[in-house]
Amino acid sequence: MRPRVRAAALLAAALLAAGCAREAPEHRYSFLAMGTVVELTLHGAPAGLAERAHRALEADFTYMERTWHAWRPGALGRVNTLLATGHWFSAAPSVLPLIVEARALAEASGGLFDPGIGKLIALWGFHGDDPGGERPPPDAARIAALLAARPSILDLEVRGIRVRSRNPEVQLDFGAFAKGLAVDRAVERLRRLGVTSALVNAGGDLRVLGRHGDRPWRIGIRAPRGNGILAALEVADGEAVFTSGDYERYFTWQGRRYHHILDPRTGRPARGLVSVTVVHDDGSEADAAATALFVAGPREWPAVAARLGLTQVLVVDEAGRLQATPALARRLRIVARPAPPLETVPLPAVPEGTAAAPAGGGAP
Amino acid sequence: MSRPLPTPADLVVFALAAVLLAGLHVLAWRQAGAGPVVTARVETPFGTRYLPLDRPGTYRVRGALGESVLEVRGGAVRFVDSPCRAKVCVRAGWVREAGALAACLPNGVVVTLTGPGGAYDAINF
Amino acid sequence: MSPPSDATLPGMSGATPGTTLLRPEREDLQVAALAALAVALHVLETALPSPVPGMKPGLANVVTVLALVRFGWRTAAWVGALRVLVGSLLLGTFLSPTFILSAAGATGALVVLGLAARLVGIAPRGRGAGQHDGPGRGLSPLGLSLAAALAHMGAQLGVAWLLFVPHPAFLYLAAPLMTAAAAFGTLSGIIAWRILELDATEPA
Repeated sequence: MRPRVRAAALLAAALLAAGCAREAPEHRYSFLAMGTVVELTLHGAPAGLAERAHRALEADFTYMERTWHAWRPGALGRVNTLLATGHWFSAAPSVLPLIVEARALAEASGGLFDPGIGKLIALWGFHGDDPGGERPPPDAARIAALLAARPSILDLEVRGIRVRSRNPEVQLDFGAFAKGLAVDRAVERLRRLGVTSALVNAGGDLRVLGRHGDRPWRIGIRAPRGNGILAALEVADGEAVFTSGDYERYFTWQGRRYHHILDPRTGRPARGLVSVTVVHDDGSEADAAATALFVAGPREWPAVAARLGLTQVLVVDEAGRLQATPALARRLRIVARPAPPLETVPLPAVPEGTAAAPAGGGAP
Repeated sequence: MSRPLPTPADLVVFALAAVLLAGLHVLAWRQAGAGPVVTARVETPFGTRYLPLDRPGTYRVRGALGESVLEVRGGAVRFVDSPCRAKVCVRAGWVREAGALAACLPNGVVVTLTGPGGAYDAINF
Repeated sequence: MSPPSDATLPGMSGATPGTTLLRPEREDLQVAALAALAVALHVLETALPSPVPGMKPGLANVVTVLALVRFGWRTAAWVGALRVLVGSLLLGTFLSPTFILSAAGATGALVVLGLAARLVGIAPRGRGAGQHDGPGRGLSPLGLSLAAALAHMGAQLGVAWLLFVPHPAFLYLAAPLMTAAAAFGTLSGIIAWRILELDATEPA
């Protein structure tokens, strides 16, 4: 009996050892925040640190969602209420940096990215958790009336911590920007916690920290129409990859798609492109830039990209054709079959004095 | 001092235990032999379920608004129906890459593909 | 320690006339002593390093089986419940997942032991002892201990699956853990058998 017991114990130990070897040194978490699924992937972090990082990020995202929510009561909601009065007020410290940074980006993009059009976005029914389905677009007269007032974040005056709006129609909606800032802050938080290798993916918009062990982080860029992956990309330390597409939030009416990326100049969904992907070393800039380039459209985007100081952009037009800047085209590996045509578009030189590197000083 | 000798009933217990353990090991071995199983992790407001993608079928999961219907076929998973208005989840189609994700946010149902050997660490969209 | 033979039969630990006043106190003492031993083993095992969290030799199993064979299922259940409760209070795991798993395991083992004792019966010292009585009928500590160990691990795995990780890869873990449980259960059975034998040869 004894030797048999010993053999059984040895067998059990061997099996257990084999079971342990299968464990991957990767931790994955996901949670719902900011109207999307946030995924956190950590590589090679001890379990305790991974748990701490997950808890910290979930708390941060929940706080930022509540603070920056465009249509639920919160800090931004109070700022919007006070903006409508036209009086000077002290802006909440959680919102002021966004106003400062977003103003700089709105200026640099020539107003193509403008978070001051909250009323327009609400008019189009994109304030709501489920804006889709089949419904008519808003009345043209009401769009025209709002456009006539020309609401823009550039109508805000900022003096220290005091803010006022010269235009009562300005309402802030940081939908095209907050996710970028949130991802930036998440990466910064991870770094402070001592994490050296991580990927933060907020509903498809992501930024990485370090490398995935002995290789870079690998991501797939999903095809904007249909299924599957369009292109593969290896992302370097600190890089952010943000995509704006017409498939994210939209409704349909009489066979036509009305998506959430509104052109501040026309008051209607921007036409011509179906998705814009920006690779950049700053998440909030990448986020705002993807929106600005989408609004710029198939002809104007290279000039706007150059003005915003971007070097790596991929756009997909309505016919499914791809255009990419040389710097990004070199790194992309198109994996969709049949491979769609890819045109390399060099960015124009920026005339002296107009290059606007946005002051990124707002974000801590 | 006598040696411990099993009674007939003990021997029956030993035999049953041997059959149980052999069965477990065969099952585990068969699962290992089938290669790395990509699994769909289905998170809902009421808990988390896992669907192995090597077993085709239709699954109903309860969400915040009602029932989402998921279909598993050919190593991929998709939303067939969901009680949201936008149906972004249904239109997103099949999801097959490890690391990829499909979600019906209004219903609070998130499907993530987990498994070793995924080509991508994350999907950008 | 040589109890009346009827005390070994489950469900028949009722007092004989005339001893009703003494019995409860003695039974309490037995339960307390056995539970203390079980708790000590339980806590001691927690201090042992383990290759897999949740994998322990389960030596407290020996005490449960001894309690069942010598004093009946009720005593075994008391000992098991006290071990889980006091052990968790001492270790600071009360109502934590560890406690839930521990309770599930003890419950599983006691249910199976109760069924085995009721349906099959108990042969206190297997076939080796009592040559004059012929081959033992029912389960000896060897079979009881193995069944209890497998039930313990099985219940823990079931609860862990339901509450914590309903992941298909769980099967990878179930096979080696159940194998280890069988090995340790057999070992516990041999220990229980030896203790009962020593007890029987001790002069009354």
